[in-house]
Amino acid sequence: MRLWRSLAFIALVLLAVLTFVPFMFLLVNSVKSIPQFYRNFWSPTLPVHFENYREAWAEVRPYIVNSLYVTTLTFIGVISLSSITAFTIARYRFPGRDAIFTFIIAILMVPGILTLVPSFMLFKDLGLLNTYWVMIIAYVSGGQAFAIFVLRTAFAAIPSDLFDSAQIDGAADWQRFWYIGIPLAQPVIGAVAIVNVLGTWNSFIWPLVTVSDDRKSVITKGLFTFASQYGQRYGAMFAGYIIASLPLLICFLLATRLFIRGMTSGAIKL
Amino acid sequence: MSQIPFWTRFLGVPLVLLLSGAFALSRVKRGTLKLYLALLPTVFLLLCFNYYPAVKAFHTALYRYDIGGEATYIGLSNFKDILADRILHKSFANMIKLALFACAVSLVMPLIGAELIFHLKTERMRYFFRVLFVVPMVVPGIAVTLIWGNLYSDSGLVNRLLSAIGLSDWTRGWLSDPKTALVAVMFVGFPFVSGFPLLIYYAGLSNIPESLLDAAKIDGASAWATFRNIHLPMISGQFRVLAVLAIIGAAQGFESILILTRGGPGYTTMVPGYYMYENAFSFKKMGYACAIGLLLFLIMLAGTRFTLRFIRSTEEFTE
Repeated sequence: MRLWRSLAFIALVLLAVLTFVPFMFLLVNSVKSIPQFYRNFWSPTLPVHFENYREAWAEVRPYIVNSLYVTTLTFIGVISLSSITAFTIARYRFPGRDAIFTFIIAILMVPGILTLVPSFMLFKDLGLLNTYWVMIIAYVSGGQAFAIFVLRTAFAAIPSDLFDSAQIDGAADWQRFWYIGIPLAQPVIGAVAIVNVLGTWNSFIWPLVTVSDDRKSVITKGLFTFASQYGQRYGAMFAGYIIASLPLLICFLLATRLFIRGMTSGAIKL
Repeated sequence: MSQIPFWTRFLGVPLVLLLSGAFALSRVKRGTLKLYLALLPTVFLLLCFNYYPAVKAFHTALYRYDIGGEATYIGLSNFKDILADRILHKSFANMIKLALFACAVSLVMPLIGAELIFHLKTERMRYFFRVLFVVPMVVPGIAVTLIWGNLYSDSGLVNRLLSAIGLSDWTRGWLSDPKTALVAVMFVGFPFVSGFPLLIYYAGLSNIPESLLDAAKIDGASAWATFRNIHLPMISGQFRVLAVLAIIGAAQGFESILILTRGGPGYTTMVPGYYMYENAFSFKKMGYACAIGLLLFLIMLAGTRFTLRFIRSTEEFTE
């Protein structure tokens, strides 16, 4: 039994090490100059070239700013729209409610590959290519379905008594939403927000297709361009990858528990 | 193009919504109006930016429509072209290989990781390892793929490792050699343990009722018997999710192909998703691209249904 336990632990550590090999490689080589990279491929080297980061930062900063802008607006849009819709569907009875809910979540079955080309044509016809809006509108519209799906369950799980007593005390609909619904569903809202931010920050194909103007490009497309232009300057390139991961890493460190719950919220079983 | 600006077509959507709303209102009590108003933005956005493109895909697939040119109705010609398209045949074969591999590793490897974590002694350790395996998820997928591109390059980590252990004959440009390119693409992300699937499995394992596990312990069940007869049946729901996600991912994912190989060398790593992308955005053949997208959608639908049915039947069998 003891032996098995130790073996299992070793296997787990081995898996962890293998998982982190590419990232350790990235970290170690991000502070090497070009000759250092070729001469001492395996080991960390001195002196440490932090100027790689300065160089990379100058390059990726505009992309990071664009990504922050798009991600923030998408986040605000998705969370406000989906909490209002989910609350309405979860806490009120009215004709057509179930039909509307089905209409909303049915879109989850339509894959991105089917709509990529027609969506592109639509935004092209609307004259929105090469704007932030082509990303924000598409992400908000597409992202709200999953958020509503998860949030509806959260709002429905709040005991009705709370809302009934508030109503008796004369609270208006918006007050019940804002002072009871939102605070009590807050952990789930946080989890949904994290999933949404992660998806927006990492999306690549849509910005690649719709935004060719470099000044409006987001970080994923920026890294792609950066990688093809930098060729041999691996240090700066790798530093750029690390800088691009920092905002989400900070987010993760601030809300680890929320993050882990967010990943498993919603449909974890079929 | 016609004289009427394109966006006026969208006036129809709120108009229909308003009319149907007014009709519904004439029949329901007052006070319900604001509920419908609260749902209006969501429904409006979904109609315009999700349902409209989805329907438009079916429509465009029946046209020859090159960007900048006129759209001509050609019926099912695009689908006839698909049947005759050699590149597409090759790419579907690649897709099936990638999908089978992705399904196998994304079902098995994270389960091994989750089981190992689940059997750790203290909650502190379990939490530590769960967090550890989630961290890679915050690195943008494109950065991870680019790093793997570097690991596979001529003077990259894989080749240096092979030289170091005396297997210099094996070194090659892994992504540029037609013999290895597809396998190299498959192994991006090795050892496939981290992130989302691991958490899903772990959540499934921790939801197994204590009493079941205790009963197994009292009966003196071996670790393997417990795994086979309790863990596996109890997490079959998670299997279904992950299998479906793997199939969907393999059918429509082409990010790593776009970044690493662009379908080459030759067409050894071409996948339908990337081929669709090329047709639409390099060759400007929107109609043909939509037809490929439509076909992929149908394949995903069939694959998902098949998986759900197949795994449910094993679930009933084990119970």
